[in-house]
Amino acid sequence: MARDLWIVLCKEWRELRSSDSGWVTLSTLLAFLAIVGGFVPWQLGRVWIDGPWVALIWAWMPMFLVTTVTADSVAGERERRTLETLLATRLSDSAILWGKWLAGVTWIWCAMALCLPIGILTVNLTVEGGPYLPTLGQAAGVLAVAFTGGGLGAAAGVVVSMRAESVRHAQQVLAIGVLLLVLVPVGVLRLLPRRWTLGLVDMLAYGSPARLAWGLAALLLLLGLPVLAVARTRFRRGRIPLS
Amino acid sequence: MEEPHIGPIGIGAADGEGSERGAPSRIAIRTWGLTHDFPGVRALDELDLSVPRGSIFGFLGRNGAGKTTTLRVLLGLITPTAGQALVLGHDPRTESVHIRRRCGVLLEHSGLLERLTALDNLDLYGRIFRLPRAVRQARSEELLRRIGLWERREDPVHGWSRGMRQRLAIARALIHRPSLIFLDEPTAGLDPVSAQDVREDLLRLAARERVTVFLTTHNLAEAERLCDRVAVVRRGRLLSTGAPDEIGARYTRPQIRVRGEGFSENVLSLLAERPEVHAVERENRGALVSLADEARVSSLVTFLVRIGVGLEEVSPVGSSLEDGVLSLFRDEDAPVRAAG
Repeated sequence: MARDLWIVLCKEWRELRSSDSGWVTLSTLLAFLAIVGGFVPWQLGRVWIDGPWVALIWAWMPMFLVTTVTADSVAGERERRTLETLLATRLSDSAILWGKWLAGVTWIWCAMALCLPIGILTVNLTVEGGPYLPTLGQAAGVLAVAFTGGGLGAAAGVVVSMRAESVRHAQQVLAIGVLLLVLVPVGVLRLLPRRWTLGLVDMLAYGSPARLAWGLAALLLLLGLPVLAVARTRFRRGRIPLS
Repeated sequence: MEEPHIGPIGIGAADGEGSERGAPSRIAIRTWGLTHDFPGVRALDELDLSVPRGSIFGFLGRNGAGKTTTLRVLLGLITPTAGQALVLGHDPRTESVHIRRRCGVLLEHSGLLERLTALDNLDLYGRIFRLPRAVRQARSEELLRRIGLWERREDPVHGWSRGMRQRLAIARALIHRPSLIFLDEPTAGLDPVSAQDVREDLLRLAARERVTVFLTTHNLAEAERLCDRVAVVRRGRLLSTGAPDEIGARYTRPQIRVRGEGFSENVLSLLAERPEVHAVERENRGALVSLADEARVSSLVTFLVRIGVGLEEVSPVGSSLEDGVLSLFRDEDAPVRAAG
């Protein structure tokens, strides 16, 4: 199983790498690093390092971005008529599913992980009075948030893409879903007692960045596991629409 | 529907290797009453099939006849509603992984990863089928050279013609030396030259690899050229099975071609009225004559000479698969048309 999963993972990575000509892929990656690793930390300054709420960016960004990868990996493969050929091999349903899921998550996570040192460097170069460095727990926390956020997004991506009519359809549904993940909590926040709301705002503004990051990672993991279970149940030969 | 024999070691009838199940068999695929329903549509209707090992077996039918569905059921990609099947001795319901391990496929679309090169495509499927690196490399080179694509091995597939892709997809299906390959309309949409290239590659590779080929097509001429045996399906139901020439002979009347001087309209009318004749069709300097059952050609020749025809040639016309299948479809359509 592990070897098959690795084969699918490598296949997905290879397809992602060769999705456009080499320089387009490279320039897209550089643009992503420049914006998320350079521009955003430059705009936020010190807050990028010690602002507890920044963990929310680390959750939302990979969750949003990974959906495009998994939509292409599942709905795109069906659209390109390569999924059925893959299903007609000896690979198990699980190896294909986990390979695709992990490919999306690791792709985005690696890009986010690269943004961490670049962001730290940017803040220290643009803000006086440094050095500004996150604690080890905080750095590990935001990376965990990026992984679990990406994991949740990728799992949702697989579930939606399996039934979607096209890649575009899958991406539209997923984009709305990710948007709702932001808007719904904001709406719920307004319905909560004022004391609770203030407590939350206080935690996001002045709480421990490391604790908040790890708490958020745990929450995303809790949300992601049932979605993964649904993906596992549905991603079976005989249940996947082939055309 | 013939019931399968259930023995102490399972269902012994279709075993590609001949010894895995203890019962030696020359049958690669066997189905009994295989049925599959989609919502509101019966795609397969009690299909009984028997595909000899080592043969090129043509599965013929019009679009929507259930060819692709059969293939998907046999590969375990969808579960049949009823009936049973054995592919290389394995039940697609419960042992589909064993089937897929020993089968190669070229489905309706080539299924090639177009962003990757030809070599990468073959290498990926070689890895999937657990071939060691050295074997993968040697096998990829061997197959690509045999289909004449070795020079293009580093090119991404997306710029290739459909014919080249189909040939590469056949090579991919053979990468792990399968016992059986499923080909779903491999020449559909190809120009005649590319289709001929694909057919030649297929024949050469199948003979060399000694693989059983299960080929779905609606191209009857192609099936006649390629296949040892064929099955004709319509609306998921098996109409007939046998060697292509048997099907041709079984469902068409014997025909002769007569040529010479003096085949006027009057002569053709007189000919059509003879008891030995079922139908007459005018041809250049002669006629194609469909004979009635038990007809004697000699009496017909005597008659033609007697009425003044200068006969130059009388030759039997072999029944083609196409004639047989078209006749079969016409017979099947007749009750439908009559009811309508």
